[in-house]
Amino acid sequence: MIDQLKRMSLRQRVSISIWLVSVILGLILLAFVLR
Amino acid sequence: MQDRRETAIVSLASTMNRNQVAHQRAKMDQNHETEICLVARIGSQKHMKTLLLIICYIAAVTLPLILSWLVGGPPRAFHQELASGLGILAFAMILMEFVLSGRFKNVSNDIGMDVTMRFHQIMARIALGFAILHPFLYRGTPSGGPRPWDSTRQLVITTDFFDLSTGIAAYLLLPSLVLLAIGRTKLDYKYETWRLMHGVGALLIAALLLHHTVYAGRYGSQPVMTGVWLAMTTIAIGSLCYVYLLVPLRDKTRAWRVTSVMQVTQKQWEVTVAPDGHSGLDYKAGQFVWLNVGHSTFSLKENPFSISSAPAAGPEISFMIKEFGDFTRTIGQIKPGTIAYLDGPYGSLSVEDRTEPGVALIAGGVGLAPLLGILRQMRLTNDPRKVKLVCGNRSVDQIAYREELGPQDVTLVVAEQPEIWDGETGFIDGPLLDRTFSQEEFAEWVFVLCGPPIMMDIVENHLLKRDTPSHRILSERFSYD
Repeated sequence: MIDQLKRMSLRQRVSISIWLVSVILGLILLAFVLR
Repeated sequence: MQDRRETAIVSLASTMNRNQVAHQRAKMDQNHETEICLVARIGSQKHMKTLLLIICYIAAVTLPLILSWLVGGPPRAFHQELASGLGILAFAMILMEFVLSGRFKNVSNDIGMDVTMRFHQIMARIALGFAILHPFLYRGTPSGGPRPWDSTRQLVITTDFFDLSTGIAAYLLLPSLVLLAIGRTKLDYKYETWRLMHGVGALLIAALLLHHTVYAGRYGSQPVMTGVWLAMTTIAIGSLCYVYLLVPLRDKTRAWRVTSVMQVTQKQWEVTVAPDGHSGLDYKAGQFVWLNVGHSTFSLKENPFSISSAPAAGPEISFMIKEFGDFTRTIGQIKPGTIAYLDGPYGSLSVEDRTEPGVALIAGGVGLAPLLGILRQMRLTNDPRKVKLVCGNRSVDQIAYREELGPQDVTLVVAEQPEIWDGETGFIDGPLLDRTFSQEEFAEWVFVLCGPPIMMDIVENHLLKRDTPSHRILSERFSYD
């Protein structure tokens, strides 16, 4: 995993970070809705 | 790195006995390991800071949602809670956009201004998506004002026009703001006009949403949540005031004067400024500043430019500027003695703290500016690291500072081959990089890239293919899309 990250371009890493942030926000939103 | 060590050991061996050589070899091995550890530590510190910033962003954006969860009333139907949740998240994300505007060194100087701006753009689009969905999900919810038996507003939504009007106004303004930002380069706006519209529009949206959230929101009307939204909006608007009022006020006491304006190629200029009654700017080679020439310190007529001079050369600062937009086309008309203001330094394109044995500078067009600053600094300070510069241009007459660059360790590339030319022809691509750098250099050197996006993509992909670790590739883009 770490090795794969080292082989990624900056744009790919930024895209992954944005996806990751979006997924976390989505999960927190889901938890709020389903509480 | 290995070669350098072996050569040093061989030369030492001629003057020392066996034990001394063995001792020296052990010492150099230890230094070599220390260098590797330092590189790893710099990389890991940067990753840790990025991770910390991401965690801070998630915490700030979800804080109102989590607090609403804790202080809000009993849950309603799924679609109503989703509508509220999306609205809360969208507003929090919009407020965080102010902090992600790129003018905060603590945020952008480590991860890069281009990365910060890309994040700002994408998050704005996601927030817009959430905001667009927000009202539609309330469909089917009874309206008509609060019922006396429903104190927690579990069953109804407000239909008070005053409370909804600010939400509707923000609903119309937000897509306009995002679409104008996306189409900025295609629409022929002056840069400062666009900045003013973007800033005022964002300010207006924040104020409208604060009113809508507090007066129409089921959660926002809770006293605790009203306080939270008020605090977050104050921070967001405060950050705008900091950038456009406090920073200019500070810069007012640190004026600069233009000392020379020199044409370096047909469309490229060198502008030099000197501090006017102060010690100058503490910057690293490769960084950039927001430059305001001839206007009030509060003027929006400022543009980001890379510094092409070296800190070791003294307090004067030079910029290599290409005629491109409405301001840069008038560079030649600037008179020496004109007042200038600098806000910065910004940017993460620096090799000052790097411990790699060599530095590869790869520039396209005016992307040479920050790399020239690095090269000048390395030459002025007799930096022991090896350095190679690859510089691409469309034609020979576009190559700036050709004499200063010199032939040693410099590869000039032109797309249009002239009649007499001893440099490379074509583009900066994989085969050219393979001819310029050895496998060892690909693996051990730090590569600094600045130029058009297509060049950056080609070079970065090739470096990764040649096993250059991503933490040894430093880059700064002019455009963020």
